Amino acid sequence: MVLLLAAACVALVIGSLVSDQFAEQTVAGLATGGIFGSLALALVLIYRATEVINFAQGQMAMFTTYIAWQLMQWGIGYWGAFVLTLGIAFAGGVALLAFALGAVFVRDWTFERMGIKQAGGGVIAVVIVTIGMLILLEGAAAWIWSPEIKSFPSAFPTRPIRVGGVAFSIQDLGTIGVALGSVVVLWVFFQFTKVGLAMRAAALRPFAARLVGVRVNAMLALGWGLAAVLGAIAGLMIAPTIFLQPTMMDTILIYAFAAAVLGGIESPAGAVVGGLALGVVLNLLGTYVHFVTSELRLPVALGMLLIVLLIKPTGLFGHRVVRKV
Amino acid sequence: MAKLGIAHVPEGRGTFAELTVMENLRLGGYTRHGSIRGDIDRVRAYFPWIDERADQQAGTLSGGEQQMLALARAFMQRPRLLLLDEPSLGLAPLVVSEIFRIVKELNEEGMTVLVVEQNANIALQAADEAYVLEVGKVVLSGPSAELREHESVRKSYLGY
Repeated sequence: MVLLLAAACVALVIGSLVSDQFAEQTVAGLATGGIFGSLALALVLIYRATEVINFAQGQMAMFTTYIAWQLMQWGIGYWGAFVLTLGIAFAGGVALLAFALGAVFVRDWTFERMGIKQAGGGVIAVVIVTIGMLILLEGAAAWIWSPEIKSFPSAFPTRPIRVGGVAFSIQDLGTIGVALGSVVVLWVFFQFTKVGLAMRAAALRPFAARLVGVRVNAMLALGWGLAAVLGAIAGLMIAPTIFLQPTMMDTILIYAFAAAVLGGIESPAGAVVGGLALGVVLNLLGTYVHFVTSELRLPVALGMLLIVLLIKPTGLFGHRVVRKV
Repeated sequence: MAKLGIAHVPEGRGTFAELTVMENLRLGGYTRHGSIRGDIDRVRAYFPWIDERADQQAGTLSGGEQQMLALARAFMQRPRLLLLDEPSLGLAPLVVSEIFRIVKELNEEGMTVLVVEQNANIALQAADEAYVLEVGKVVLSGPSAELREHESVRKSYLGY
């Protein structure tokens, strides 16, 4: 696996040195791939913490991007709005988990009152709630800000930078930097801080985590909050290119799902690598294989996903999980 | 529970199998404030093998090592009361006596330890006070030295 990846990287570097166009397209692919990757990472975080696929992840990102736009309309500068939005996204993620758990609790309570006995279904119920949130957030965004397409400012200048005759867009480079930067920050947080370690423990072994005094529910809420922040970053980075609209994240989220499953839904590193790979492959195919027009990008992504799942059902980085029953 | 100073090592140990040995120890000190380095050093003194296995996944340790790691993790909590559930379960006799030796040592340093154990022989040797439970009821209790001499305990549990 590692060998294959190394070979792919070497091929990309050689290709970039040989052809200017190849280099440009690779960097552009890495930029979109970085966005797929961070959204995929958000999905993985939530999946590992609560075993829930969060279908509302894309809409959460869209909604927080609208909040950033609104803040800027009120005259707050870009970076001020950026930081504020991340804070709001974090609170929103925590609130969403509380809402989902609350909804399940109310349902169980009502059923009990009505004398209906039913077994479990906790996880699937939360998944359904996230689908509800998807529709709710999309509707709310269209209602508050109107469904019209809006332009969104970029953090980075759009002019290109020239390196040995190759023109890279500064915006692409900035996006790659922000996406990889947030991944590194997360990795350090999970690996070296006490709270990060406790979050991993809570996700892996809730019972044992409680025994050593970790507040498991607080850790899960923290996980949802961090995922919302990652989503917000992805939304803010992609909005300048695809414009602000309530449905902006719909297809992006499908790519992110593909990236997450490609890397193995339990593996954070896999999600990032899966996202980058997907971005680069799609961009290069679009450039060099002429029948892959922009309409065919999504089918190609899903085709890649299908092939990987046929060959290695656990994803590129996943390993088989044995559960005792 | 953990904040109240009670450490519990459940049957099956409650080890974080996916995390490394060192991460398990760090989690043990989760409720503590300030540096836990000194405690990690003390744990290393009790279990010298931890030094070379610090970055190994806890799930790959042997059963005895996992039990010792669970003890070490509980020790990291600096508990006032340590609860051990069947520490001898599935372990070789040599490892069992090693574990009880360390428990005894911790006890002599002032930690209160409550052990539930089906190996009556070793439990009675290590403990000061003992209770015999039969179908959920205490049928006998007293200093373990006395219980060791007790007619029915000897016959039913110690086998002589």
